[in-house]
Amino acid sequence: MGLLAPWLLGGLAFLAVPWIIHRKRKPPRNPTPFSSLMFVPDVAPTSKARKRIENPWLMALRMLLLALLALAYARPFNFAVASLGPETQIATAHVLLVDVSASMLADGQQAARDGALATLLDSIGAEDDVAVVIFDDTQEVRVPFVAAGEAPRDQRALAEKALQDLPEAAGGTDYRGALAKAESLFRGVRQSDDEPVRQVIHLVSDLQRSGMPSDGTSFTLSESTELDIVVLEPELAMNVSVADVALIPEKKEHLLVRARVQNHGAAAVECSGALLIDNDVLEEQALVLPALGSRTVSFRVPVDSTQEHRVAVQVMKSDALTADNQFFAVYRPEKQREIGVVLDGTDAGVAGAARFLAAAVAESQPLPWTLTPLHVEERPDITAWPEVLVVVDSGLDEVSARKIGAYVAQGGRVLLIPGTKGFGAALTSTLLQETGVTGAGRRFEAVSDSQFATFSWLNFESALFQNFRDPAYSDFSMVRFNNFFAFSVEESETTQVLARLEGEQVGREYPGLISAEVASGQVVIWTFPLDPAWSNLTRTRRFVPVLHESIALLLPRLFSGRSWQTGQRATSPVAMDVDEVVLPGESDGNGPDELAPELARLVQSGYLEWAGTDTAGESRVTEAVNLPFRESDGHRFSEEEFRLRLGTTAPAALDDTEGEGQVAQDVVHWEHGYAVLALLLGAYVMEAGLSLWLGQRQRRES
Amino acid sequence: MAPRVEHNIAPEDLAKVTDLSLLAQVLVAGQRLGLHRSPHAGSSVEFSQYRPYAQGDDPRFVDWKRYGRTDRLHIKEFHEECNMHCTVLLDCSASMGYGTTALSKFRYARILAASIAWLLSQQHDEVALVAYHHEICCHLPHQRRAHQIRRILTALEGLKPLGSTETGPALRWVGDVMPARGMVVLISDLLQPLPELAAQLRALRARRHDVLVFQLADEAELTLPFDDAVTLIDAEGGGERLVDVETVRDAYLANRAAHFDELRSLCLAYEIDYMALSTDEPLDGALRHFLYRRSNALRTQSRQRATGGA
Repeated sequence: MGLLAPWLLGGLAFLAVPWIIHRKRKPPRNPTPFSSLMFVPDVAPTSKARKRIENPWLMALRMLLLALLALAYARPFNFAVASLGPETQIATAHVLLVDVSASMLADGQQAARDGALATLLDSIGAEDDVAVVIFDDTQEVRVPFVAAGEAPRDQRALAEKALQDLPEAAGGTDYRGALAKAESLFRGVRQSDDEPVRQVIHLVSDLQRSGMPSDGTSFTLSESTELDIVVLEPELAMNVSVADVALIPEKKEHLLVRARVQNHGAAAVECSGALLIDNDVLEEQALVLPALGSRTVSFRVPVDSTQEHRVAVQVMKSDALTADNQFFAVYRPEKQREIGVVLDGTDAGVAGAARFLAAAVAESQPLPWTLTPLHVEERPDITAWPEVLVVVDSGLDEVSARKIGAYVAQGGRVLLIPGTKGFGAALTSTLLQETGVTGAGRRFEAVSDSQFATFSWLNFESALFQNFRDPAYSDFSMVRFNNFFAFSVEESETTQVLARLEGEQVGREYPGLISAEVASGQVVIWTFPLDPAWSNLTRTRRFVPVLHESIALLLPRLFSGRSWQTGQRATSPVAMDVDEVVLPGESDGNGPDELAPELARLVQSGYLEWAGTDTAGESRVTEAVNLPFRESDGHRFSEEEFRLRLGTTAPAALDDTEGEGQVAQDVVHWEHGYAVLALLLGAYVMEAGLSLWLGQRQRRES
Repeated sequence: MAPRVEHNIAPEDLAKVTDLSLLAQVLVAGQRLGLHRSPHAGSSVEFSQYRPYAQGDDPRFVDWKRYGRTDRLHIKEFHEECNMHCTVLLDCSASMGYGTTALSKFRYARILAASIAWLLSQQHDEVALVAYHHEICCHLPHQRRAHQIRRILTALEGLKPLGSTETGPALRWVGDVMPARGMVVLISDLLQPLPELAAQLRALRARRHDVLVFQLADEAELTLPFDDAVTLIDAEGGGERLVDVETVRDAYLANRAAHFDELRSLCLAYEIDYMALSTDEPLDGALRHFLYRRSNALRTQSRQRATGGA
């Protein structure tokens, strides 16, 4: 027996109400006529009589009513295991979907998980088939179903063995992938002749909130698949994690390392943070982290900032999950590269855009690039142009437009931002046509605060928005566009929409950011000007990151800070013929293991090494990999919330349409709503009857 | 002729009948059977004794048969069955309206009064009705008319319990207006201080009246059966009192017993018949007691008359 909403049992506190009322209620001063008071002594009633509980049975019934009401709201139900006993006649295919993510490292979690699995295994009938899938942010089928035509196996024994050999907990959590994998196993399960096989997935997990996609996308199980969730409720560890690291060189002799350390626990903690440069601990600091808060810790160490260094920040705490307590980075001295800014137009918006750009790429900031005004007519040699141009156009002349087109055709990279009059005709006819982007009318006739559009979709898979995956940065709802240019794009392999805008007309979307490859060059197009009257983007915190990421997208060699997903192929950040790849943790001290580059998939944070040949000859590149386990995150879903996110709810709650027998036979969970309701009604009738009888008796007496 | 009924009619059954006349007939018929002495036809006298003839005696009373046997003149003396004057004094105070059983004290008292009146009318006695609470609210003087009983019954039907109990003045008033020695039947709950009541009862006895007191009580007054704490309201406007019944019950019962024990002692001392009745008791016993007392009263009156009264 369990409760879907156990917190509502807090309503039991209201049991005190009838008690207080019956207790405080004075004995009824029933005005009882009497023949004469001449024999009645004038004695004040004793306090004992005044404090006597009035009608204790009625009070008990009322308390019972309240208790049943609280119980009804708490929604009692039976666990599925209760219905999977030997009396179940339908052959059932069970998938034990076992969470082996790093959050299982928390105290007592693995023992709880093993206990739950043992209980589940015991509850599985002899006629049933069982499969075992383990998952973190990847999935592995440890025991598959016996497929049609295969010889029968002792699935239960196999499952038992597989569950005894679970790997050490590590990695992130991906419920969507795990459930999809588990459900896919049912496709190969044997079907009985007369009845369909009942399909049950037993998810054994702590329902970690970070295991669900933050973008609201979800996964819905098919109707024929039942989901039984065994929630492992951890005692929230006082987890700490390193969320981010910034490396700032100072005067060639020092390196300033800033790390953001988070405390996921509900109490302040003391721990120590260590900075490792090239695997040597250079500095340690004692940290006091506020409850559920973060703190930035700075290390300033004397290292040669002109050389490449491997940097790691670790937070040492005994119960910190090892998956998240360290953050890797590679300090790579880079020359500041020049970004050319072409400003051409006849409207004031272009001049305003120049100011915003200058502010976003301030010279005082330690950025790997600087903005330099570029006058096309003064620098006719396009080979001498910077690697990247930012073109803010509202009426570029034809010569300049052709030059820019040629620049892109030869591998140049351009960020195109329209002025308030839209792109000029020259640029449109030369460059935009080749990108497949057409149409440039204003979305709205006039710029007005009363009508606006917002980002309705961001392509988080793209490099531009990859760093916005984190829920802390993925919210763009505050960015509003009072007007923009309604381009239409024919998407192809070379032309992709990276963000879409949606106005007041729901479902009608327009491109917001477009990435297009033209010949060997690349163009990123913003479909909105930087005029504050048109959009508040420049005044929000999203402007600078989006601008930087747009520029970074156009600078392919700029690979530091790439974000990775577990299981992702470790693609080379630079153009080189890769000879070998050393994945994080692969090095055993006897030289790197040779690994075919196409097999290199990331499962661990650390340093990723590439060796090969590029245009400069033999080359070796090191990249830091930080897989977003987010296992330290103590937020958990309730089972109900988890089901809601999955687009499914408890089976008994689903089915008013089915007959009771059907529900009783098929559901995994059986909510006792009707039983509680019947008890509630019974108690109510008794209470009403008793009240009536007491009232009548009182009237009769009086 | 009234129908023959069994004795001991339960108050619950009496409560179902609202016609006082019918009730009185039924009750009286039940009592008369076997209790009423049959009168000689055409005779209204009862033989008492012989005495020698003396000069001046009415020769009509000479027993000539005895003279023939003894050769002496003897006068035959008789007890005279004279008509008795009876006054039914009914308490109509508000406390009489109290009742927790089938019959309230007041209805019980009305039935008792009606039955007595009916019985007396059947015996050709003169009966008067006096109803009172804090004052005399109804007075039907003695009459031997045939419709006297109808008047009494009608008056009884119209009475309502209200006001306070002041029996003493009512007794004094009755003593003043009753013309001759007779019988006073007091029907009341007697919930009042004793001194004045005792004085007036003694005064009545001093005037040679036979006094019969029916003291009525409701079952609730005898046991105080309420639970827990109640606010008791005095029916006669004596205020209200919040009492914890369990606490005061013993004291109440003791007070009540002391009051009525004292009253009973006084009545015994004044040769007043006192009968306590509970409204859940049948009325028959009370009527039987009344008949017994009436016959005694008649004998006494006759003897007094015969002895010249004193």
